[in-house]
Amino acid sequence: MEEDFRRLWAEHHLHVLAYALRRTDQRTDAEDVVSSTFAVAWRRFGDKPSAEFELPWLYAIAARVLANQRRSLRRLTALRARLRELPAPAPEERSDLREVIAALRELRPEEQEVLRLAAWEGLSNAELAVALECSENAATIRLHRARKRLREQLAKEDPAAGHSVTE
Amino acid sequence: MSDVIALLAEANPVRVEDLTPLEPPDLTRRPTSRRLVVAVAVLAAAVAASLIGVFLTGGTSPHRSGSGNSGHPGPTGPPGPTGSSQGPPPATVAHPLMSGKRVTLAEAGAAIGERVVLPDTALIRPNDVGPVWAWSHDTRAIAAVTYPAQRLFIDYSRPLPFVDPLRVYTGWSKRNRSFQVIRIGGIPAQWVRGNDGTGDNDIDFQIDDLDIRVTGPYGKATLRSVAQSIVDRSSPPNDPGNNLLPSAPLSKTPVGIGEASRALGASIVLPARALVPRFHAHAWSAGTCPPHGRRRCLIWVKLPKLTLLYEHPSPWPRSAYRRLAKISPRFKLLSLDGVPALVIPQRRRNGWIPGSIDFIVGGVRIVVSGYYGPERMQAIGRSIVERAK
Repeated sequence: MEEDFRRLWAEHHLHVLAYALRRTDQRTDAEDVVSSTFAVAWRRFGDKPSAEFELPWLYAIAARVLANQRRSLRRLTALRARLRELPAPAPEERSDLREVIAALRELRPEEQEVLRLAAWEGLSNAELAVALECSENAATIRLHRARKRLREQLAKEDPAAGHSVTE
Repeated sequence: MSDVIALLAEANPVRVEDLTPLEPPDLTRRPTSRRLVVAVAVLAAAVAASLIGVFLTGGTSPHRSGSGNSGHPGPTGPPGPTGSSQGPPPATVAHPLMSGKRVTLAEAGAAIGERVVLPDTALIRPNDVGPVWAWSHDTRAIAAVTYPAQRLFIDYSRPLPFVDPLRVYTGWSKRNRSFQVIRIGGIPAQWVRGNDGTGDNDIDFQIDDLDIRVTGPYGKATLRSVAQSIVDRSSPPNDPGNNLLPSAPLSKTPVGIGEASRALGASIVLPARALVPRFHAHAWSAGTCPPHGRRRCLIWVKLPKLTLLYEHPSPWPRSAYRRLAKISPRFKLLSLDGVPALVIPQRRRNGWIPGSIDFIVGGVRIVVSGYYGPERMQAIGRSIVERAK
């Protein structure tokens, strides 16, 4: 089991770190999330799904850890400050990317999360189901609706251009 | 992938390939489900038996984990196989943690930042406590209290791994038949039928900001009674930081949170969820419930880091707070949307003494006592006043 855990760490911890960094702005906070996520994973190792769903399973744990981390007022205060700031967009600083991030932030948190998991973590519908702890059918519907909402939001922000935001 | 998802993917702020690897985390607590480690555990036990010449019979034995701490990593090290290449041995009464040190019960409480609530049942009494272990690093800590004669041990760990344990337990129970969601006095808990060869089962639940696991070679009813006792004995003590709380020890009776308003004879108004999570609210009553004439009913509701006392009818009128505020320069009088409230800030004296905010709404005296700063406490009080209107 220990060897299997080491493999799990080696294969996935950077993905979990990236996941955490995309949702926090402090590297140390993100590293805490990684550490706690794998500590929980170790404790719950017997519940680990098959290899193909390991990463979304870790994302599900990390989501809980992040939520836990945000419980204190101090964290919440910091989080509010973070939420006012965009995650750093792609290096090109393209305006269309800034627009899509801005549109994303207008959606409900659960819509944002399913879109981030699909776009940034690159999860399939089946993997989304594991990460979101719901059925695959429900995950598919949630993604579809969130995608639609994002399109609408982009169109609202730039009616002439639809989702393709012009400069 | 749709166009909008592709666009969003391009805006990904963090690329995995840009990141540098981290050191593995400290791991000290064994996994809950032994389904996947059963073969490893049996093999490790067989190897240990052949090496030390001890024949291991069925059931849980203090010798089961091998000799000494050889298989346990240091408190700051990775989960390295320091003793056996077959992986860590299952936790036992002799070695409930994979690392850590022997401590006193008081030291264990200091490590986890909470009082270690011991059970008191027909099976185990507080005096039965054997060796106590603790491990801590940064914000994480685990204490393990063992009962060697009963072959039972209890882990208390922080921080809580989950905000909503019911949802998590439910999810796990759906995917693993060894897991079952149960309730301990209204608190969600998880019963885990072990199969790692130790014969141990366990019950996991969260209370008082601690994740608690009771492990032993017993069935659900027995372990549940131990867990229930911990929950019952976690009843909030009379608050030493608030001399306005009832000073006489009162015999409290657990009451379902759904029944608390009826017992009080008035609405139990809780603070807004955004301010205080309610995932393991539980309540106790004392006095005359429902109240009768001048005989008052008192209801305590325990939430994370917070205790609320509801006293009905109120022992004094709102105007009394002006006089009470003069008792100490530390006491402050403020207005919660027009409702006078007495604030006693938390302070430090041999550990943190919780602060409180005391006010009357709808004829019910409410005392909010907890380990939050003054702003948060006032926000909590204000949210109760708003919700009570």
